[in-house]
Amino acid sequence: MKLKCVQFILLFSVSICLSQNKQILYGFSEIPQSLLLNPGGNIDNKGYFGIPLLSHIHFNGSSSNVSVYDFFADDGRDFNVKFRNAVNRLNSNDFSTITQQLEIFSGGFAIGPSYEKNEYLSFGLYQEFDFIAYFPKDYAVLALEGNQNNIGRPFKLDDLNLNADVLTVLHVGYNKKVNKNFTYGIRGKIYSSIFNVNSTKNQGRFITVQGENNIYEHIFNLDLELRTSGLASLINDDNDDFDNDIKEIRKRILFGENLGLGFDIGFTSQITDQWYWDASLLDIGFVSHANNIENYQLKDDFTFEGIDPLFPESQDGQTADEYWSEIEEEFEDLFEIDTTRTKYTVWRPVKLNASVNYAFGKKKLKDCDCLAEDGGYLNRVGAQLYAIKRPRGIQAALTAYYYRRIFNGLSAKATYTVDPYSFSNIGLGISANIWGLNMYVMADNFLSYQNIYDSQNVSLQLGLNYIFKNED
Amino acid sequence: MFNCTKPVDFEQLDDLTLEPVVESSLIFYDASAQEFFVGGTEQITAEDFVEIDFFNNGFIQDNLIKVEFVFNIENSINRPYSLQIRFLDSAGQSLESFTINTEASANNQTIKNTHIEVFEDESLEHIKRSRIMVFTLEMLPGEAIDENTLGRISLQSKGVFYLRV
Repeated sequence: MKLKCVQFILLFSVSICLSQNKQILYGFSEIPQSLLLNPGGNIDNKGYFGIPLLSHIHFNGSSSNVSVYDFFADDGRDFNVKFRNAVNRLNSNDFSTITQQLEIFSGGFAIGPSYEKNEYLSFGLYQEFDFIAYFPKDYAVLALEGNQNNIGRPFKLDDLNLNADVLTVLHVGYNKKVNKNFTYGIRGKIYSSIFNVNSTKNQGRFITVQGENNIYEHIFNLDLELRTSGLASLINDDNDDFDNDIKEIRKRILFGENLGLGFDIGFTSQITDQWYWDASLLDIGFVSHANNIENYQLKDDFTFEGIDPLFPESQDGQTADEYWSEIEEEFEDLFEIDTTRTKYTVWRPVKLNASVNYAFGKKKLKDCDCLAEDGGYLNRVGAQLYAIKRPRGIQAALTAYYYRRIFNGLSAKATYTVDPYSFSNIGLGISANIWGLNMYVMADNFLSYQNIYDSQNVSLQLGLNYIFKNED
Repeated sequence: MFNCTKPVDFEQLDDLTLEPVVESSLIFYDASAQEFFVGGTEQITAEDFVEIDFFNNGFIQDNLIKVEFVFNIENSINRPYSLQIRFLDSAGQSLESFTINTEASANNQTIKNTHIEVFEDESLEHIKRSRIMVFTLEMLPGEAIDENTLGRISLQSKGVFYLRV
């Protein structure tokens, strides 16, 4: 690698917003981590390495239809009223998510013949925490109201739906600029699960209806399961020595006992000089949980309509108490939780990114009053689509953006994002290059910063890289 | 001034009270007049008991604040009846009891009536201590019953459990 003019670029980014969508970073090719959002993205460096543990820190949390402030505002109103109002507003498709990522190390370098380095290898290891829980509406209504006002209403037990993952991802990506119009890339991933809690296949219902022999018939169809991996050995171990647990967790960071495979693919296609489009699919993969499993299962059907103590139908001399004891046993069986160690597989949340982009406005040179030939366009506008597959369906967001290279080494991107839950998400990212030091700051949900607790969506990103810049 | 937050108070969570009302079927029966005429003689009483564990439970002990028992009785037999329900503790001592009387139906038309028993405070504490329920259905004096006597007596019931969690 010929690096006549090595420039160390220090990237440092902070952004606050609340969703897994990284709409500001997407397509921001000055920042190496944008390759994690599209392995077939444009690259404008010869190599880089991330500062260990500092190259990409990402946090985001979001909740649909309700904010922390709705629940906990210190406004003198009765908390129970606020709580009930919030529960009434939410339905079982509303959710909360928390995602956090920490890049442990990363790097990349251009490869290929020295006259045309049109291929690029990148690699890294990052840790991810991903949590999603849907609002268990029917459970909440049952807990708040009971069944008295809900005779004939089925309480759907599949309203309980959650997944939490802590894992590390070791990845290697390959990017090739086939010609000036087409670039593609693929990234292979090995997932190493630290722990997983999964309850996404629940079924059944509880309903109270008018009975035949008695006032009501109570029908229980229960089919619930909570699956865990990586937790049993931490919780059930005899010692309460936290250091031991830390040691065990550390062993799982690379090639732990529950592994998975996945890949990302993506491309960028130049349509005309000014138009291009790109797309990527991320985390097409799974984690196979085979070791250190502990699952809890509740599966039974039962119908109860009370007891007939005086004239029981069975005439075999059974006393009322024997008859009742049988029913009591049935109830105990009904709510008996079985513990199993059955292996299971959890698919990763697949993400789709796509964008159409239009670049315009070349820089005018003062000297000759003509357009600079090789500087490229200064402005870009575009539309981006983001979608993620979640247990209960696809969540999507649409972003419109404006990008501007203000001058060499300073660029900015402003975004406006809509999703089914928010129509006011404005984001801004600035990347500055001063004396070889490149810093960038990203934030979204600007309109909610007057009261972050009232935001349904917030995220934070931080990064630090050395970049070997393309000289031209 | 640019403020990032407005005041929030997470301790409000301690104030959360859940007040579900749970209704559950209890006992029922449906008997024809002949079931009170066994082996050529009137069977005056039918009695049985069940041991109940329901109240012997920390959650119920702490959070049950009121109970209503609702009984719907229909009688088309030309004989009055009384149903006595007694709550006993584990030693067999009576804690609470009540009686539901049903009139005779002279023309075998169905007589319907509803009886509600409410337990709160001290009487509820008695119910919570009870471990045995005894049911005694007694046929009161009246027109004699034989194999040709018409009519049925039936009962359906539910418990309404008021919880505050």
